[in-house]
Amino acid sequence: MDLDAKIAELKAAFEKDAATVPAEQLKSRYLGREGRVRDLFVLLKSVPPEQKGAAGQKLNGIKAEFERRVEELGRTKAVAAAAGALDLTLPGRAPEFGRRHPIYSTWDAIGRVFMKLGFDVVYGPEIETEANNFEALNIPLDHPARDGFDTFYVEPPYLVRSHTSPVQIRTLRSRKPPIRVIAPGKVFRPDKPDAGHSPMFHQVEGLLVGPGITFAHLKGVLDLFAKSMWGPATSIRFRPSYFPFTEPSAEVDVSCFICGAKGCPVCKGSGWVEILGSGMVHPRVLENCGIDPEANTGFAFGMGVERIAMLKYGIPDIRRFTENHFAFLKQF
Amino acid sequence: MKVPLSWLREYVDAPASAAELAKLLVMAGTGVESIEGDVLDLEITANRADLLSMLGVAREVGVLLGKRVRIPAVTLAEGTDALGVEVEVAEPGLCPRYTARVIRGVKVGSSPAWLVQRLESAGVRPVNNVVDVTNYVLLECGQPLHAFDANLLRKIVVRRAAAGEKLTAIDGKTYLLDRDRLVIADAGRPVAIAGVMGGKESEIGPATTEVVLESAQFDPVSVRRTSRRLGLSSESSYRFERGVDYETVDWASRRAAQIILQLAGGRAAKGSVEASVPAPPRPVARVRPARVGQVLGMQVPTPRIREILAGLGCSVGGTDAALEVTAPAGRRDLRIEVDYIEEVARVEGYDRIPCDTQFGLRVAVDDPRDLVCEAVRATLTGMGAYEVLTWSFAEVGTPNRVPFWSPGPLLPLRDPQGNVDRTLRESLAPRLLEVLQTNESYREELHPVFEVAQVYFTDGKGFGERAVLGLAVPGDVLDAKGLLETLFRRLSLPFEVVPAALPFLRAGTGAEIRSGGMVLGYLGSATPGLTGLKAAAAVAEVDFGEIVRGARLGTPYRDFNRQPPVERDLNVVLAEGTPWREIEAALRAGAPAALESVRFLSEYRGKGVEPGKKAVAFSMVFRAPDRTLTGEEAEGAVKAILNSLQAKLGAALR
Repeated sequence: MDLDAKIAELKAAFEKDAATVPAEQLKSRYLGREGRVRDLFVLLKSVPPEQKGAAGQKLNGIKAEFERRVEELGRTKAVAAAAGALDLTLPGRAPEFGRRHPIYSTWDAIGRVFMKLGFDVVYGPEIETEANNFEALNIPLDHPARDGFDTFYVEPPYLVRSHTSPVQIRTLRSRKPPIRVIAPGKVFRPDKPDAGHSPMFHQVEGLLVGPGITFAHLKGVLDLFAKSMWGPATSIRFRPSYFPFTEPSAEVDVSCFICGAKGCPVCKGSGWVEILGSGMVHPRVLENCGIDPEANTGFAFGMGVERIAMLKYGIPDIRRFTENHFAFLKQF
Repeated sequence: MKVPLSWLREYVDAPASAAELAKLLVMAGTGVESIEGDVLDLEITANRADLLSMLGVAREVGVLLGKRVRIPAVTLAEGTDALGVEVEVAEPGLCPRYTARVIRGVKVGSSPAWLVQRLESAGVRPVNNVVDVTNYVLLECGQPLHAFDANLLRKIVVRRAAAGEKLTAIDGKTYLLDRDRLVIADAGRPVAIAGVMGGKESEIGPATTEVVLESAQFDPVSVRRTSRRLGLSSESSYRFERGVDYETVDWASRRAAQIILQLAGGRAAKGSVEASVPAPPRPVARVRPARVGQVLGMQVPTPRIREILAGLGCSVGGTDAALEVTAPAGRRDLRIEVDYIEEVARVEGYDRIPCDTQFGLRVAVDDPRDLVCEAVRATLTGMGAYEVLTWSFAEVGTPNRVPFWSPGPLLPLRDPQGNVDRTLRESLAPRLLEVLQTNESYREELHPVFEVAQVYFTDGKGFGERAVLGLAVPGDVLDAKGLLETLFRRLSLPFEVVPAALPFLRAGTGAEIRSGGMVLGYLGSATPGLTGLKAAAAVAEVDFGEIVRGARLGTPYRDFNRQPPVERDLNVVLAEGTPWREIEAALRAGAPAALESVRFLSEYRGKGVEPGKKAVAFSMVFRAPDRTLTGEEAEGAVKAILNSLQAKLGAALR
């Protein structure tokens, strides 16, 4: 029998065994020290010298092929074996992660929009003076305008601020126009807690003052804000209002982002949701801060973070934010 | 304020439906609380005292729609009798105008149906024909009136109450008065609290035949203080606080007298007695049409500005460059240029003002506090901690004091009534532990919680506050310390924990957190006095301002060692009570430069370790900067370390 025939015979035997014999046994049976490939190499002795080179190559080829096949079979069988033991439907080994509080996430989301528009973030103290919280903002003592600003006093004239507007005063006094800032922070009102009221909540104040700033800029900035927060289809509506520290003053509504302004319980069927108060900084406020109201104009606005978060997530009760149930916090 | 559409139509051609009227008013700045049938409940802003009447709302509607307003003609037929009443105003500063009329021979009874219906639709309870007329005229024109039974009233004195004087008002309650309360008095006693409420004794009743009709203007601040002090508010005080018009005082008096004569009969005495300072001049403002454009960002043609202002009842003079505008009666809010600019914008419609986004490019500057706070939040939530939001105040009487940041007294929070039910918090720990306790009671799996918020203090001279990062962690002190270690590593902020006795922490668990010799905060296990939590918990607070100062978020790159590391573990037995800090110091003292890092693995006490000793296992990494370390070099290093541990701490290889 010539070598080629023996090689063919060996190949057929290998393929037959490969289907049934484990890779390890296959390896020793064919490639081991006393394996069948070795047997063929022994036959080389009887090959004529001029054919030895070609025959050797053939034998090396078959050896390499078997080695490759054995390794391949071994790998396939290992995977198959492991697949039998592994239950991929078991839960993964997942590290736990915590959550950010929705009020602070909302605060950040508001801040991000205004930072894109070039507003610096500034802060003021929570314990304020009556002068900064009221008088400098053109809210005189014993005036009905104070009705909306019931306040916790620490010891007169010190109080905990009832709005973030005193940061306007501090900023107007410490910076030179043009001024472009937002001031987020905690505020306090002696309200009895209920679904809509809380003795402590958060506001974001905005202020842009400089030469040539107009009510049209106020509308422009808040329109960009609304579109950035609630999508490009959002529109805003300005209604005249009264705040002692701005004039003209406006309440601002956004088209209801829950129902797409068709009318729903959130917008009480009106298609509009009130989100903030705003207006042109009152010339008396600028004067109180040493800024010439003839050379500079500007606008201010203030919004409640809780209100915006409640609208954003559909939370019906402001008290949820301070209860800190994990079942609540986990949802954000 | 309730405005029935049918009543309003008497003065102006109002829109056909209540809904249309509501929309018109809302878009001009007057909120509508509710609409019931044809009655609108208006929310009048504090600056618009002029809208607190049917005629005021009619004028507003007239301006907005360009309609004429019909003001009722007053034709009072006065008799020839003398008044028989004297008035003396002792405090003209608090009562710039006081008028009184006398009507004799009235027959007090119920009001006709139309009047009852109107009052009721406006939310005012009918009383009798005389009182109802005063209320009707108040609602019609905004001027409060009061009718006294004249039998007891021959001399009217407007004066400050004497300390200790009392008055029983028509609400049946007796009020104790003092020098800061203005009263209407007869020769001897107060008969009314000026501008707030009349007295029971001089009330109009079925027996009344002679009426003194008061129409006056009182100082808004005085009325407001009295109303607040006495906790007594009325339709009258509400309007006086916001200011009534000097000139309407007499019109209202004649209008009411005329209707009383119609409904209750009797005859008006001749004229009225008046004690008044002269009418104040109406303010005149210079309004530059160019400035209107500069403020609004929209050009309004000068003729249109004139038209709007004239429509509001202003008289407009001056030139086209600078109009001279005089406010109409009742518009006390119109004083300076910007007041008129707002009126122009309001009547023109805010929706006509364009959106302008050309306000210049500017790059916002990051505040380091925000950058560090973001890193703190990201790192702590990344490790499974929950950010929480807790009250900045504590209920009074909360026993768990944590006077770490300040030894001073707690700061009170006084509500407008002067009650102190709450104090500002001195520490975040109690509220954070409360969060764990709440969740424990809801059978929630507990997680670490944290918050960055202010704590408050007084230094005796003033009040202060400090931003603090607070953590409450289920488990023991090392659980809290581990979170802080990872956090501080993220912030490249070195710190150490130095045991300290802190009275609000469990003995032996408290420690100060220090960095660069400065105390940044504390950590430790909560005492049962601090929390009712059943599970063990540790708390930590760190001065957030100091974290911001010390944190390095963008540290420069350092090249790293690419040689292969050699790892060796050691398990040594040494005396119980030897702190890890000393073990690490001793092993480092004996180690060659190739020791790169040491990591604590475990502690063991018990079987195989003699009493009074503990076994400590740790792992070390050796690496040379320039070549592969040989096994022999590593063995030599371990031997040197063991020798050092033995020499310094008497440690033996386990």
